[in-house]
Order: sequence, then C-alpha cells, then structure tokens
Amino acid sequence: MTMTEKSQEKNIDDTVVKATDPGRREILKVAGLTAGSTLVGMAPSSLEAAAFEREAIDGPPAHNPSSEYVFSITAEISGALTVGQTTTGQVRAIPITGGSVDGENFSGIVVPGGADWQQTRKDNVTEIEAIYMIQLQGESGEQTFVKVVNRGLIVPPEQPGGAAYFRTRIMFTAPQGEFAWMNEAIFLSRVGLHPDVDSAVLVEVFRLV
Amino acid sequence: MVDIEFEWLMTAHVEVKRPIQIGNIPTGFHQAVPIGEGFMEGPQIRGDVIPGSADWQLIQEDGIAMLDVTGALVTDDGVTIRVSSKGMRHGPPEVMARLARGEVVPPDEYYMRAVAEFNAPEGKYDWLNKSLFVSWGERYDNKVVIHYYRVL
Repeated sequence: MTMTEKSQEKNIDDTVVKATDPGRREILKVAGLTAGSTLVGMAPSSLEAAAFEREAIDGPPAHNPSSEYVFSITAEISGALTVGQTTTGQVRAIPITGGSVDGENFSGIVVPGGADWQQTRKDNVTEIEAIYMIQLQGESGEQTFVKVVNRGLIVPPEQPGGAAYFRTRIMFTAPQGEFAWMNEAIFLSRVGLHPDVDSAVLVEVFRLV
Repeated sequence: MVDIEFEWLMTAHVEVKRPIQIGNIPTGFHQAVPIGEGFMEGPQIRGDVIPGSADWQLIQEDGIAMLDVTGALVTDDGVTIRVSSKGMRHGPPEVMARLARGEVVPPDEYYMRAVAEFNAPEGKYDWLNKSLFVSWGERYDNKVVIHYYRVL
C-alpha cells in the first residue's frame, strides 16, 4: 500500500460524533454513564459518592501558585550533533560535558556524559529533553549522585531581538536521605545561555510552592 | 533573582469515581481513578471534559502518590484539545487519612501539583502548544477542582 492509499483509507477510529453536533452535552453525558456502568472493580453502589453537580466558576482562586528559587546548574555543552529531519521534526543532540551545581547548603558537579535531545517542530517550537547526572555534596560531606531529566519548551521570540521562552519541568531522582526532598515537589526551570561561562547554559531551578 | 511567575488559565471541576485498584506492583500501589463529567472556565477558554479517562496513580513507598492523567476537553466553540497532566500528591499522614475518608480538607494542608501539557489543533487554541503549564488541585469526595496556570 502506498502512503497515499494509506492516508485515504477509512480509519476505524474516525470520529462518529463531531464535537459541534447539536446535543453534544447529551452525548457526553451518556458516554460518562456508559463508562461508569461497565467498569470492572468499582465499589458497590452504596459506596458511591454524592452526585456531581455543575457550579459556577467565579474567576481565579484567591491565591496564585508561587515559586521559590532553590539552586542553579551550570551545564557546559559542546556542539550539536544533528540527527536531521524526522517525521516529527528536526532532531539534534547537544552533549553535556560537565559543569557545576550551586545551592545554599550544597554544591556539586555535572557529571560529563549526558545530552540534551532537542526536536524542533513545524511550529518552530523546540521540545527539549536533557538527561544527565549531578553529583552533590551537602552538609554531611557525603557524595550523592542524582539523576536529572529536564523536559520543556523553547519558543522563539515573537519580535526579533526579544527573549526566547525557555521553561521546563526538571525532575530529579535522588536516593533516600539528605537529598530526598528533590523527589517530593514539582520543580521548574528557566534556562538561558550562561552570562559568565562560555559554551554553557544556566539552569535556574525553582520549587513550585 | 526573579522567581518564576504564573498566569491563571482556567479552573476545572471534574467528577472522579471510586478507584479501580490494580494493587501492589514492583514500584508501588497502583490504581486508576476514573474521570466522569467535568467543565472548565477561564478568561480565554471554556469547555467540558470528555468523560472516559482516568488518573493512573502510583502510590510509592515514600507515601507520595504520583498522578498521571491524559484526557480531552471540548471547548464551547467545538474544538477538542488533549490534556496530559503529570504530578504528585502528598501530605502529613493524618491529613491524607482525612482525605481518604472523604472529609473536606483545606487544599493548603496537602501538596497536589502537576505540570500540564496541551495538544491543540492548528487555529484559535494553538497557543496552548507553546507554553508550559502547571496546576494545583483540590481533592473532594466526588470531584477534583484543578486550577491551571501558564508558566511565565
């Protein structure tokens, strides 16, 4: 089968009900009831919770979330290795060759050998996924290795000369003990070229409060 | 150092049903919380939850529940958008016990946060593809209330 034939073939998952059809809400309601009634392992109906009711949403909650700065990672990088154009975008990898970690009560190094995998989509947004390891030393003096997975987006500026939007969720996997707190919150990062170190990025890590 | 700030996107009220328990697996206790009806509203987006997804939860040995939901919403002008949210919920054991009993617990007594990703088709809502979003949640007996924010 050629690609053209394949794309013209009727897909078994083609939507039967369009979201704009009249009676959309009724259809959704029936779908919900059907799903609930066929689930295996549900609690007996006597344990069912009170009925769900529609209420007004009156604007944002009283308090917005906030973030607090925790530490910074200086990640040294070398030239990008281009994989090239793939079906989902332009793919490259940027080797992570070393660096440092600076916190209030701890410090450390970036272990050489990780990489930042990037994919630039056709809307010019680049998805990043950097995987590497940091080695930390805190007040105990012990050395701790922590896995880092940093996933996010680079959105080019709308106006030439503006700043790119480079935000990520940065996830840590730390052993039990001194750095277990790194497992226990959502951390975000803001990334940019390092102002003081050549061929490096500065990753500022914030805890979502 | 300027902290990262947030802009309110929308608040969602989502019906949740009784968990389907898979049980102990090598990485923790696994269960799925089925999602029923729901609706959401914010300054630029309003819509309904398309029922039929679930929050796949892994309750780890350290007591943290890792949350993982992929679902879809349909806006009031007929656009279907995928929402994928990965995060965590934890708190002091006595607070979590009250939540488990179905009591109303002030949401600032526990930590229910996630990072959300939207996949919107080209058009009116495709700006959702170009930002990172976070959420904080409130768990009630038969529903969750989730506040979504754009990371500035």
